[in-house]
Amino acid sequence: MPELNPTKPDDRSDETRQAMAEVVRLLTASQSNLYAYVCALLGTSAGAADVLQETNAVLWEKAGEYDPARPFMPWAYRIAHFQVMAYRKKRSREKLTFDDDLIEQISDAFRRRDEGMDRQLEALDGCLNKLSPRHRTVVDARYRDGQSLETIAQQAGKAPNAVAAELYRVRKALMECIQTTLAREEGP
Amino acid sequence: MSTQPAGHYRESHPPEIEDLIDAVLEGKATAEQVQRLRPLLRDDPAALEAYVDQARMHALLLWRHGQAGPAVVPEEPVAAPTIMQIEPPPRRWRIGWRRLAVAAVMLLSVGLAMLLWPGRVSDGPPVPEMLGTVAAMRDVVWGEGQTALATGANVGLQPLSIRSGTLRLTLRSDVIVTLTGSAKVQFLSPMRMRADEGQITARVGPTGKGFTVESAAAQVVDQGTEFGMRVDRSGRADVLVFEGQVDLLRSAAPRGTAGSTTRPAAALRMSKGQGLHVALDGQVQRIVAVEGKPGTPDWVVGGAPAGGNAVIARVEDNLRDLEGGAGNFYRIVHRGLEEDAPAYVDRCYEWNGVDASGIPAELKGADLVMTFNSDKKTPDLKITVTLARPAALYVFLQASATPPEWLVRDFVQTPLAIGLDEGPPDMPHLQLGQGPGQSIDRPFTVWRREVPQAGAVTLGDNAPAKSMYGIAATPLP
Repeated sequence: MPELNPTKPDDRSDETRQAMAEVVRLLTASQSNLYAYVCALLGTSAGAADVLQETNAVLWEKAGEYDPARPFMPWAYRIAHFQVMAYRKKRSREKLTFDDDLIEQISDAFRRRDEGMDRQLEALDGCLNKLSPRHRTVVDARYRDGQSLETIAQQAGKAPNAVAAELYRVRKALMECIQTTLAREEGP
Repeated sequence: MSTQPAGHYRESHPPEIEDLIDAVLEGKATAEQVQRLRPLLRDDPAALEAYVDQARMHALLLWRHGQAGPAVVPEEPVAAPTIMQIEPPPRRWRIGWRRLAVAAVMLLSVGLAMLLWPGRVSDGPPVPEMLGTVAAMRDVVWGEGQTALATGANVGLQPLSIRSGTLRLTLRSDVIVTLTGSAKVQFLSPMRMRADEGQITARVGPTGKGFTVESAAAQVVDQGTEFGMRVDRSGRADVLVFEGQVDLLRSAAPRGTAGSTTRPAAALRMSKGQGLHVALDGQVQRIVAVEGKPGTPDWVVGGAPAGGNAVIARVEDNLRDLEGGAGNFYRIVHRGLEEDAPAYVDRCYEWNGVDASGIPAELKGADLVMTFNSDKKTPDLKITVTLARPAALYVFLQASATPPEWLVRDFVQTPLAIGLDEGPPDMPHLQLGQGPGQSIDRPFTVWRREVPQAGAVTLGDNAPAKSMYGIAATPLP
């Protein structure tokens, strides 16, 4: 395994540089997945960006410990998991959505369905284009414009829970579309 | 794509699970709802899978739309190596290493030479992202402090400035952005750009829908289109729609409208051929004319630039005064009359020679005004053309129409003719041909008036006809 310890600035062989570049590439490609993973474990997007920043910092600090012969994501998920737990320690118990055991279960379930790096994000673009205009409008309002469910509901003349249910179905359809797309790309 | 509420967890679990997951993901779950959700997820693998899928997609959608912003941003600008200078962090990073390390990862990945972190919270991802590349450039003089970029260089979340020239960027978000002249911008996410100054032309592909350019006065949200935005140093913006539609959001509500001036005004949906000037107080004013060839970023608001060799300087009319809505602009195309030249700002029709001999030599290379085909039946229309020099002014009238009184009085009919080629999407059953004499749908007669001095000439309304008249001018010797 090449020496990657970033605390040793004198070690700058070509092999090290290439390995560091590979860590950067993997880290860059894994960002959306790590963000989703942190969101799932926290139960909310609030604070997820902060946890991801801490995760990135630790991944970079520990880059020398990464073995390029092994998959990157399990290692990255493990560190993100630790950062989620560290973040939780700073929070009062009543603000936590899940307990430690349930977080373990969620982590396992998330990683079982890991579709790989940023391929999900690429597939998402194609799947968004397949949405009906009505569903695309709801997605744009919620995720692009950052509108609340109440605002979207008011504009559409619907109840907020009806909009929430619609978004739930759209997210489910998008997830299935992504899985289908990626399965097709991988081929038989 | 079907979004029917079907699925194994939907069928085997109470609908309550969806409400609970929604409440958690929206951050609005009560303690009681969380207490109800926990055992469902713990004891039922299908419910757990449903939660994971929903959480993953919720996060991906936030990420995809640039809404996964950081709560904390790095506090200080950090110089960083380029991707070709990758090396472990130096020892001095031990002070405040965490944030510096994050910044280093960001910079290494996007290959920047310098990060000038903005003094505000970005709404883009908090992590490295290569947004796109420099696709082309022409006569670019880089702004002060701006590292020169080569064609093919990566573009990230750094400020970008040019003093002059044209810089074209291709973004991974399916957007082509062209900066012209003196421009200072910064990408805040793959889908959002801040413009402090400059002229921006954005062509947005299907997956880039929602791409937003913001200035102090306005935000322009693409709805599948090509649009232009010119921002002056104070933040005022000119917004033009060349294709498709955009939503215009003003930073302040104009006086005299509902709501205070400190609240954003209601969005204005703008369509092809419409242009507005947006002041800092939210007031909007119609842009009457734009000079420049369609499809190019070299457009000029108001008309031809002074001191050039344009024949037609300005065009105005007595219509389309704003009443809170968006206005329409004429397009002046210097030396624009050639085969397949766009004829109208609101149709995809083209001017061509009526036969293989092509557009008459007398008219070739004339300055062209793209008028509004929808004005063909507008009563009491007055179009004022301001000529920058002595010129021959031409009006093209549909050959089957009875010439209006003003045209017979002020112009002379020539033996020349020009053809209009109509096609989709406005005439879906027709096809646009290419070159002279191809697919000509309507012949037009050519009327001429010599104007011996620079100045304004006013034209009247159209004759009853299927198509609006066209306007062109050539310099007199």
